[in-house]
Amino acid sequence: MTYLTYLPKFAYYEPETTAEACSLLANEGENTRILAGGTDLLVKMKRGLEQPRSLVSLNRIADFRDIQPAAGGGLNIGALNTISRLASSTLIKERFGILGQAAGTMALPQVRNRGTIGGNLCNASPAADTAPALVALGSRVRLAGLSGERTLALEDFFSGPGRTVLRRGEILAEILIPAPLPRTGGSYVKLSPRHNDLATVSVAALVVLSPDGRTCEDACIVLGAAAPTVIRSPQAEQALKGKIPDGGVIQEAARAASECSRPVSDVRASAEYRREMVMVLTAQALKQALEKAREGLSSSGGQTK
Amino acid sequence: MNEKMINLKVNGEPVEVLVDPSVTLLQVLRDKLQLTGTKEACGLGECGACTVILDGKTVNSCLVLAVEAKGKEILTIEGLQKNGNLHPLQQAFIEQGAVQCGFCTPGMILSAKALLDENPDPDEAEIREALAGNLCRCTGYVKIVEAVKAAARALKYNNGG
Repeated sequence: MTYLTYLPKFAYYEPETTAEACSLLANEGENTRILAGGTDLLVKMKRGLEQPRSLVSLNRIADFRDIQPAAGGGLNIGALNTISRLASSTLIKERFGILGQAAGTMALPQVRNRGTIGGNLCNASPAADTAPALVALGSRVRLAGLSGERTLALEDFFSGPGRTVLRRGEILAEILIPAPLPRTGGSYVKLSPRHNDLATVSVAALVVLSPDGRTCEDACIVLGAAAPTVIRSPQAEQALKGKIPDGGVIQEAARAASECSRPVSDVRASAEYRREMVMVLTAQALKQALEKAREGLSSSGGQTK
Repeated sequence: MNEKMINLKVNGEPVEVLVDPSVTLLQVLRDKLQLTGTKEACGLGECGACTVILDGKTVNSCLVLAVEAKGKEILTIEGLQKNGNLHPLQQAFIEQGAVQCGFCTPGMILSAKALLDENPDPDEAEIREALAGNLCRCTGYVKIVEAVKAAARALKYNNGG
Protein backbone atom coordinates (compact mmCIF):
# COMPACT_ATOMS: atom_id res chain seq x y z
CA MET A 1 0.00 0.00 0.00
CA THR A 2 1.53 3.31 -1.02
CA TYR A 3 0.86 6.57 0.76
CA LEU A 4 1.56 10.24 0.05
CA THR A 5 3.32 10.72 3.34
CA TYR A 6 5.51 8.54 5.53
CA LEU A 7 7.19 8.96 8.89
CA PRO A 8 10.90 8.18 9.17
CA LYS A 9 11.74 5.46 11.67
CA PHE A 10 12.63 6.31 15.28
CA ALA A 11 13.05 4.75 18.71
CA TYR A 12 9.85 5.21 20.74
CA TYR A 13 9.52 5.57 24.50
CA GLU A 14 6.38 5.94 26.57
CA PRO A 15 7.47 6.76 30.13
CA GLU A 16 4.84 6.60 32.84
CA THR A 17 6.27 9.30 35.11
CA THR A 18 7.61 12.80 34.63
CA ALA A 19 10.94 11.82 36.17
CA GLU A 20 11.31 8.98 33.68
CA ALA A 21 10.44 11.31 30.80
CA CYS A 22 12.99 13.94 31.86
CA SER A 23 15.62 11.28 32.31
CA LEU A 24 15.02 9.87 28.84
CA LEU A 25 15.09 13.33 27.29
CA ALA A 26 18.36 14.12 29.03
CA ASN A 27 20.04 10.85 28.12
CA GLU A 28 18.81 10.16 24.61
CA GLY A 29 20.84 12.95 23.11
CA GLU A 30 20.17 16.05 21.10
CA ASN A 31 18.08 14.57 18.32
CA THR A 32 15.23 13.57 20.64
CA ARG A 33 11.78 15.08 20.51
CA ILE A 34 8.80 15.15 22.85
CA LEU A 35 5.57 13.69 21.49
CA ALA A 36 2.39 15.14 22.95
CA GLY A 37 -0.45 15.74 20.46
CA GLY A 38 1.88 15.28 17.50
CA THR A 39 0.06 17.76 15.31
CA ASP A 40 3.18 19.88 14.79
CA LEU A 41 5.93 17.29 15.22
CA LEU A 42 4.54 14.54 12.99
CA VAL A 43 3.80 17.05 10.22
CA LYS A 44 7.41 18.30 10.39
CA MET A 45 8.69 14.73 10.30
CA LYS A 46 6.54 13.89 7.27
CA ARG A 47 7.84 16.99 5.50
CA GLY A 48 11.44 16.01 6.25
CA LEU A 49 12.03 19.07 8.44
CA GLU A 50 12.75 16.94 11.49
CA GLN A 51 14.26 13.49 11.72
CA PRO A 52 14.47 12.65 15.42
CA ARG A 53 16.36 9.56 16.47
CA SER A 54 13.94 9.07 19.37
CA LEU A 55 10.50 10.21 20.42
CA VAL A 56 9.55 10.44 24.08
CA SER A 57 5.78 10.32 24.34
CA LEU A 58 4.17 12.11 27.28
CA ASN A 59 0.84 10.43 26.68
CA ARG A 60 1.10 7.76 29.39
CA ILE A 61 1.92 10.35 32.04
CA ALA A 62 -1.04 11.15 34.27
CA ASP A 63 0.17 14.62 35.29
CA PHE A 64 -0.41 18.00 33.68
CA ARG A 65 -3.98 17.39 32.54
CA ASP A 66 -5.90 19.52 35.03
CA ILE A 67 -7.39 22.98 34.81
CA GLN A 68 -7.39 24.14 38.42
CA PRO A 69 -8.38 27.39 40.08
CA ALA A 70 -5.35 28.68 42.00
CA ALA A 71 -5.41 30.15 45.50
CA GLY A 72 -5.86 33.89 45.03
CA GLY A 73 -8.15 33.63 42.03
CA GLY A 74 -5.78 32.67 39.22
CA LEU A 75 -5.87 29.55 37.06
CA ASN A 76 -3.34 26.74 36.59
CA ILE A 77 -3.49 24.86 33.32
CA GLY A 78 -1.64 21.58 32.85
CA ALA A 79 0.46 21.61 29.68
CA LEU A 80 -1.02 18.37 28.35
CA ASN A 81 -4.53 19.81 28.07
CA THR A 82 -5.78 19.78 24.49
CA ILE A 83 -6.65 22.99 22.67
CA SER A 84 -10.26 21.71 22.48
CA ARG A 85 -10.42 21.49 26.22
CA LEU A 86 -9.20 25.06 26.56
CA ALA A 87 -11.73 26.29 24.00
CA SER A 88 -14.67 24.66 25.77
CA SER A 89 -13.67 25.12 29.43
CA THR A 90 -16.18 27.15 31.44
CA LEU A 91 -13.49 28.03 33.99
CA ILE A 92 -11.53 29.69 31.20
CA LYS A 93 -14.59 31.27 29.56
CA GLU A 94 -15.70 32.90 32.81
CA ARG A 95 -12.68 35.02 33.65
CA PHE A 96 -9.96 34.33 31.07
CA GLY A 97 -12.13 34.56 27.98
CA ILE A 98 -9.35 35.82 25.71
CA LEU A 99 -7.60 32.45 26.04
CA GLY A 100 -10.71 30.42 25.16
CA GLN A 101 -11.28 32.77 22.26
CA ALA A 102 -7.72 32.28 20.96
CA ALA A 103 -7.92 28.50 21.34
CA GLY A 104 -11.15 28.46 19.32
CA THR A 105 -9.46 30.17 16.36
CA MET A 106 -6.92 27.43 15.91
CA ALA A 107 -6.76 24.93 13.07
CA LEU A 108 -9.51 22.31 12.80
CA PRO A 109 -11.59 20.40 15.37
CA GLN A 110 -9.58 17.23 14.68
CA VAL A 111 -6.29 19.03 15.31
CA ARG A 112 -7.62 20.83 18.40
CA ASN A 113 -8.68 17.45 19.84
CA ARG A 114 -5.05 16.22 19.81
CA GLY A 115 -2.84 19.30 19.96
CA THR A 116 -1.84 20.44 23.45
CA ILE A 117 -1.27 23.90 24.92
CA GLY A 118 2.21 22.80 25.97
CA GLY A 119 3.00 21.71 22.44
CA ASN A 120 1.68 24.96 20.97
CA LEU A 121 3.95 26.97 23.28
CA CYS A 122 7.03 24.74 22.90
CA ASN A 123 6.71 24.73 19.11
CA ALA A 124 7.13 28.48 19.57
CA SER A 125 5.87 29.62 16.21
CA PRO A 126 5.76 33.43 16.21
CA ALA A 127 2.22 32.97 14.86
CA ALA A 128 1.01 30.69 17.67
CA ASP A 129 -2.45 31.75 18.82
CA THR A 130 -2.39 30.86 22.50
CA ALA A 131 0.85 32.77 23.14
CA PRO A 132 -0.39 36.37 22.67
CA ALA A 133 -3.50 35.65 24.76
CA LEU A 134 -1.47 34.07 27.56
CA VAL A 135 1.14 36.85 27.57
CA ALA A 136 -1.66 39.43 27.69
CA LEU A 137 -3.02 37.62 30.76
CA GLY A 138 0.39 37.93 32.44
CA SER A 139 1.00 34.17 32.47
CA ARG A 140 4.00 32.34 33.83
CA VAL A 141 5.17 28.85 32.93
CA ARG A 142 6.48 26.10 35.19
CA LEU A 143 9.22 23.92 33.73
CA ALA A 144 10.05 20.53 35.25
CA GLY A 145 13.48 18.96 34.88
CA LEU A 146 15.78 16.45 36.51
CA SER A 147 17.34 19.03 38.81
CA GLY A 148 14.00 20.48 39.91
CA GLU A 149 11.57 23.10 38.69
CA ARG A 150 11.75 26.68 37.58
CA THR A 151 9.08 29.26 36.83
CA LEU A 152 9.38 32.20 34.48
CA ALA A 153 7.24 34.74 32.65
CA LEU A 154 5.89 33.34 29.39
CA GLU A 155 7.35 36.32 27.51
CA ASP A 156 10.81 35.13 28.56
CA PHE A 157 10.13 31.54 27.51
CA PHE A 158 10.48 32.26 23.77
CA SER A 159 13.99 32.95 22.48
CA GLY A 160 13.38 33.11 18.73
CA PRO A 161 11.22 31.66 15.95
CA GLY A 162 10.68 28.03 16.94
CA ARG A 163 13.04 28.33 19.92
CA THR A 164 12.46 28.31 23.66
CA VAL A 165 14.66 28.36 26.74
CA LEU A 166 13.81 24.75 27.57
CA ARG A 167 16.96 22.88 28.56
CA ARG A 168 17.65 19.28 27.61
CA GLY A 169 15.70 17.04 29.99
CA GLU A 170 13.12 19.73 30.79
CA ILE A 171 9.46 19.72 29.95
CA LEU A 172 6.85 22.45 30.12
CA ALA A 173 4.58 21.33 32.95
CA GLU A 174 2.04 24.01 33.68
CA ILE A 175 0.81 27.45 32.69
CA LEU A 176 0.05 29.73 35.63
CA ILE A 177 -2.35 32.59 35.03
CA PRO A 178 -2.71 35.25 37.75
CA ALA A 179 -6.09 36.46 38.97
CA PRO A 180 -7.48 39.11 36.63
CA LEU A 181 -8.20 42.54 38.09
CA PRO A 182 -11.82 43.56 38.27
CA ARG A 183 -13.09 45.56 35.29
CA THR A 184 -10.82 43.60 32.92
CA GLY A 185 -11.80 42.81 29.34
CA GLY A 186 -9.76 41.04 26.68
CA SER A 187 -10.06 40.15 23.01
CA TYR A 188 -7.94 38.21 20.51
CA VAL A 189 -8.23 39.23 16.86
CA LYS A 190 -6.56 37.27 14.09
CA LEU A 191 -6.13 37.75 10.36
CA SER A 192 -5.65 34.61 8.30
CA PRO A 193 -6.09 33.62 4.63
CA ARG A 194 -8.87 31.15 5.46
CA HIS A 195 -11.02 30.33 8.48
CA ASN A 196 -8.78 29.31 11.38
CA ASP A 197 -5.67 29.24 9.21
CA LEU A 198 -2.25 30.04 10.60
CA ALA A 199 -2.24 33.72 11.63
CA THR A 200 -0.93 36.24 9.13
CA VAL A 201 -1.04 38.73 11.98
CA SER A 202 -2.79 38.67 15.35
CA VAL A 203 -3.33 40.97 18.32
CA ALA A 204 -4.30 40.18 21.91
CA ALA A 205 -5.54 43.19 23.87
CA LEU A 206 -6.38 43.25 27.56
CA VAL A 207 -7.67 46.43 29.24
CA VAL A 208 -8.51 47.32 32.82
CA LEU A 209 -10.97 50.16 33.41
CA SER A 210 -10.89 52.60 36.31
CA PRO A 211 -13.48 52.07 39.07
CA ASP A 212 -15.81 54.66 37.50
CA GLY A 213 -15.38 52.95 34.13
CA ARG A 214 -14.32 56.12 32.34
CA THR A 215 -10.61 55.74 31.84
CA CYS A 216 -8.31 52.92 30.89
CA GLU A 217 -6.30 52.18 34.02
CA ASP A 218 -4.03 49.59 32.46
CA ALA A 219 -3.56 47.77 29.18
CA CYS A 220 -1.59 44.89 27.74
CA ILE A 221 -1.20 44.66 23.99
CA VAL A 222 0.56 41.63 22.49
CA LEU A 223 1.32 41.05 18.83
CA GLY A 224 1.50 37.68 17.08
CA ALA A 225 3.20 36.89 13.77
CA ALA A 226 4.64 40.40 13.78
CA ALA A 227 8.15 39.74 15.11
CA PRO A 228 10.56 36.81 15.65
CA THR A 229 8.65 36.03 18.83
CA VAL A 230 5.40 37.17 20.39
CA ILE A 231 5.99 40.77 21.60
CA ARG A 232 4.27 43.28 23.80
CA SER A 233 3.91 46.88 22.67
CA PRO A 234 4.75 49.08 25.66
CA GLN A 235 4.33 52.21 23.54
CA ALA A 236 0.78 51.24 22.61
CA GLU A 237 0.06 50.42 26.25
CA GLN A 238 1.39 53.81 27.36
CA ALA A 239 -0.84 55.58 24.82
CA LEU A 240 -3.86 54.21 26.69
CA LYS A 241 -2.90 54.35 30.36
CA GLY A 242 -4.89 56.86 32.35
CA LYS A 243 -6.71 58.17 29.28
CA ILE A 244 -10.34 58.10 28.24
CA PRO A 245 -10.24 55.46 25.49
CA ASP A 246 -12.01 57.34 22.71
CA GLY A 247 -11.50 56.77 18.99
CA GLY A 248 -8.49 59.08 18.80
CA VAL A 249 -6.68 57.43 21.71
CA ILE A 250 -7.37 53.98 20.30
CA GLN A 251 -5.99 55.02 16.90
CA GLU A 252 -2.85 56.39 18.56
CA ALA A 253 -2.34 53.11 20.43
CA ALA A 254 -2.93 51.15 17.21
CA ARG A 255 -0.36 53.25 15.37
CA ALA A 256 2.17 52.78 18.17
CA ALA A 257 1.64 49.02 18.06
CA SER A 258 2.19 49.02 14.32
CA GLU A 259 5.42 51.00 14.71
CA CYS A 260 6.96 48.59 17.15
CA SER A 261 6.20 45.52 15.04
CA ARG A 262 9.07 43.87 13.12
CA PRO A 263 7.33 41.47 10.75
CA VAL A 264 8.81 39.47 7.90
CA SER A 265 7.57 39.05 4.35
CA ASP A 266 6.54 35.48 3.55
CA VAL A 267 4.04 33.43 1.58
CA ARG A 268 1.12 34.78 3.61
CA ALA A 269 1.89 38.51 3.42
CA SER A 270 4.49 41.23 2.93
CA ALA A 271 6.04 42.98 5.92
CA GLU A 272 4.34 46.25 4.89
CA TYR A 273 0.92 44.61 4.83
CA ARG A 274 1.51 42.99 8.20
CA ARG A 275 2.57 46.29 9.74
CA GLU A 276 -0.57 47.95 8.38
CA MET A 277 -2.75 45.11 9.64
CA VAL A 278 -1.23 45.35 13.14
CA MET A 279 -2.69 48.84 13.26
CA VAL A 280 -6.12 47.70 12.03
CA LEU A 281 -6.30 44.66 14.31
CA THR A 282 -5.04 46.51 17.39
CA ALA A 283 -7.86 49.04 17.02
CA GLN A 284 -10.40 46.21 16.61
CA ALA A 285 -9.04 44.20 19.54
CA LEU A 286 -9.03 47.27 21.79
CA LYS A 287 -12.62 48.19 20.94
CA GLN A 288 -13.76 44.62 21.66
CA ALA A 289 -11.73 44.43 24.88
CA LEU A 290 -13.18 47.73 26.12
CA GLU A 291 -16.70 46.53 25.36
CA LYS A 292 -16.10 43.35 27.36
CA ALA A 293 -14.63 45.33 30.27
CA ARG A 294 -17.69 47.61 30.29
CA GLU A 295 -20.03 44.60 30.15
CA GLY A 296 -18.29 43.22 33.22
CA LEU A 297 -18.82 46.52 35.01
CA SER A 298 -22.50 46.78 34.23
CA SER A 299 -23.43 43.13 34.94
CA SER A 300 -24.87 42.75 38.39
CA GLY A 301 -22.69 41.12 41.00
CA GLY A 302 -19.35 41.85 39.39
CA GLN A 303 -16.14 41.02 41.16
CA THR A 304 -15.58 41.76 44.79
CA LYS A 305 -11.75 41.91 44.77
CA MET B 1 12.85 -5.56 16.45
CA ASN B 2 11.37 -2.18 17.12
CA GLU B 3 7.84 -3.45 16.64
CA LYS B 4 5.30 -3.24 19.44
CA MET B 5 2.16 -5.29 20.04
CA ILE B 6 -0.83 -3.08 20.65
CA ASN B 7 -4.38 -3.84 21.78
CA LEU B 8 -7.22 -1.55 20.88
CA LYS B 9 -10.92 -1.60 20.04
CA VAL B 10 -12.04 -0.84 16.51
CA ASN B 11 -15.76 -0.54 15.74
CA GLY B 12 -16.57 -2.40 18.92
CA GLU B 13 -14.25 -5.34 18.26
CA PRO B 14 -11.00 -5.97 20.17
CA VAL B 15 -7.98 -5.95 17.88
CA GLU B 16 -4.34 -6.90 18.39
CA VAL B 17 -1.65 -5.79 15.94
CA LEU B 18 2.11 -5.72 15.73
CA VAL B 19 3.30 -2.30 14.56
CA ASP B 20 6.45 -0.28 14.08
CA PRO B 21 6.22 3.01 16.02
CA SER B 22 6.50 5.00 12.79
CA VAL B 23 3.25 3.55 11.43
CA THR B 24 0.19 5.78 11.71
CA LEU B 25 -3.28 4.76 12.85
CA LEU B 26 -4.45 5.47 9.30
CA GLN B 27 -2.00 2.93 7.88
CA VAL B 28 -2.96 0.28 10.44
CA LEU B 29 -6.67 0.73 9.76
CA ARG B 30 -6.18 0.40 6.01
CA ASP B 31 -3.34 -2.11 5.72
CA LYS B 32 -3.72 -4.38 8.73
CA LEU B 33 -7.48 -4.23 9.27
CA GLN B 34 -8.60 -3.73 5.65
CA LEU B 35 -10.81 -0.82 6.73
CA THR B 36 -10.22 1.27 3.63
CA GLY B 37 -13.12 3.66 4.18
CA THR B 38 -10.68 6.02 5.94
CA LYS B 39 -8.64 7.85 3.29
CA GLU B 40 -5.38 9.73 2.93
CA ALA B 41 -5.67 12.90 0.87
CA CYS B 42 -3.09 15.28 2.34
CA GLY B 43 -1.38 13.22 5.04
CA LEU B 44 -0.69 16.42 7.00
CA GLY B 45 -3.81 16.98 9.07
CA GLU B 46 -5.35 19.67 6.87
CA CYS B 47 -8.13 17.99 4.85
CA GLY B 48 -9.89 15.60 7.24
CA ALA B 49 -10.23 12.70 4.78
CA CYS B 50 -8.55 10.49 7.39
CA THR B 51 -10.93 11.49 10.20
CA VAL B 52 -11.86 8.78 12.69
CA ILE B 53 -13.43 9.02 16.13
CA LEU B 54 -10.97 8.18 18.91
CA ASP B 55 -12.42 7.84 22.42
CA GLY B 56 -15.37 9.95 21.33
CA LYS B 57 -13.44 12.77 19.64
CA THR B 58 -12.63 13.29 15.98
CA VAL B 59 -8.94 13.11 15.09
CA ASN B 60 -6.84 13.03 11.93
CA SER B 61 -5.66 9.42 11.91
CA CYS B 62 -2.75 10.37 9.64
CA LEU B 63 -1.27 12.24 12.60
CA VAL B 64 -1.86 9.60 15.29
CA LEU B 65 0.83 6.97 15.73
CA ALA B 66 -0.72 3.50 15.92
CA VAL B 67 1.15 2.94 19.19
CA GLU B 68 -0.60 5.99 20.63
CA ALA B 69 -3.96 4.28 19.99
CA LYS B 70 -3.11 1.46 22.40
CA GLY B 71 -6.06 0.84 24.72
CA LYS B 72 -8.31 3.29 22.91
CA GLU B 73 -11.66 2.90 21.10
CA ILE B 74 -11.78 3.79 17.44
CA LEU B 75 -14.87 4.30 15.31
CA THR B 76 -14.41 4.29 11.53
CA ILE B 77 -17.04 4.80 8.83
CA GLU B 78 -17.41 1.02 8.60
CA GLY B 79 -18.61 0.98 12.18
CA LEU B 80 -21.66 3.16 11.63
CA GLN B 81 -24.07 0.69 10.11
CA LYS B 82 -25.98 -1.66 12.42
CA ASN B 83 -26.98 -5.15 11.21
CA GLY B 84 -26.80 -4.08 7.59
CA ASN B 85 -28.87 -0.93 8.19
CA LEU B 86 -27.31 2.41 7.33
CA HIS B 87 -26.94 5.01 10.05
CA PRO B 88 -29.33 7.98 9.59
CA LEU B 89 -26.33 10.13 8.67
CA GLN B 90 -25.33 7.76 5.88
CA GLN B 91 -28.94 7.60 4.70
CA ALA B 92 -29.29 11.38 4.75
CA PHE B 93 -26.07 11.94 2.77
CA ILE B 94 -27.37 9.63 0.05
CA GLU B 95 -30.90 11.07 0.00
CA GLN B 96 -29.78 14.70 0.04
CA GLY B 97 -27.29 14.24 -2.80
CA ALA B 98 -24.36 15.10 -0.51
CA VAL B 99 -22.06 12.53 -2.11
CA GLN B 100 -20.32 13.10 -5.46
CA CYS B 101 -16.93 11.40 -5.73
CA GLY B 102 -17.31 10.17 -2.16
CA PHE B 103 -13.70 10.65 -1.10
CA CYS B 104 -14.41 13.18 1.66
CA THR B 105 -17.61 11.44 2.72
CA PRO B 106 -16.38 9.03 5.41
CA GLY B 107 -14.55 11.85 7.20
CA MET B 108 -17.50 14.24 6.79
CA ILE B 109 -19.95 11.74 8.21
CA LEU B 110 -17.77 10.99 11.21
CA SER B 111 -17.29 14.70 11.99
CA ALA B 112 -21.06 15.09 11.70
CA LYS B 113 -21.61 12.12 14.00
CA ALA B 114 -19.30 13.58 16.64
CA LEU B 115 -21.26 16.85 16.40
CA LEU B 116 -24.70 15.23 16.73
CA ASP B 117 -23.52 13.07 19.63
CA GLU B 118 -22.69 16.23 21.53
CA ASN B 119 -25.28 18.64 20.08
CA PRO B 120 -28.36 16.89 18.68
CA ASP B 121 -29.90 20.13 17.39
CA PRO B 122 -27.17 22.21 15.79
CA ASP B 123 -27.85 25.33 13.74
CA GLU B 124 -26.16 25.91 10.41
CA ALA B 125 -23.23 27.83 11.89
CA GLU B 126 -22.54 25.05 14.37
CA ILE B 127 -22.67 22.43 11.60
CA ARG B 128 -20.24 24.39 9.42
CA GLU B 129 -17.90 24.91 12.38
CA ALA B 130 -17.94 21.19 13.24
CA LEU B 131 -17.21 20.25 9.62
CA ALA B 132 -14.56 22.97 9.21
CA GLY B 133 -11.84 20.31 9.32
CA ASN B 134 -13.22 18.34 6.37
CA LEU B 135 -12.58 19.63 2.85
CA CYS B 136 -14.76 18.71 -0.15
CA ARG B 137 -13.70 19.54 -3.70
CA CYS B 138 -16.93 18.42 -5.38
CA THR B 139 -20.12 19.49 -3.68
CA GLY B 140 -19.70 23.07 -2.47
CA TYR B 141 -20.87 21.88 0.97
CA VAL B 142 -24.50 23.03 0.72
CA LYS B 143 -26.00 19.55 0.38
CA ILE B 144 -23.63 18.23 3.02
CA VAL B 145 -25.01 20.76 5.50
CA GLU B 146 -28.58 19.87 4.42
CA ALA B 147 -27.78 16.20 4.98
CA VAL B 148 -26.55 16.83 8.52
CA LYS B 149 -29.73 18.82 9.25
CA ALA B 150 -31.86 16.02 7.83
CA ALA B 151 -30.01 13.42 9.87
CA ALA B 152 -30.48 15.48 13.03
CA ARG B 153 -34.22 15.60 12.36
CA ALA B 154 -34.33 11.85 11.65
CA LEU B 155 -32.43 11.03 14.84
CA LYS B 156 -34.74 13.23 16.89
CA TYR B 157 -37.77 11.59 15.29
CA ASN B 158 -36.42 8.12 15.98
CA ASN B 159 -35.67 8.96 19.59
CA GLY B 160 -39.05 10.60 20.15
CA GLY B 161 -40.99 7.84 18.41
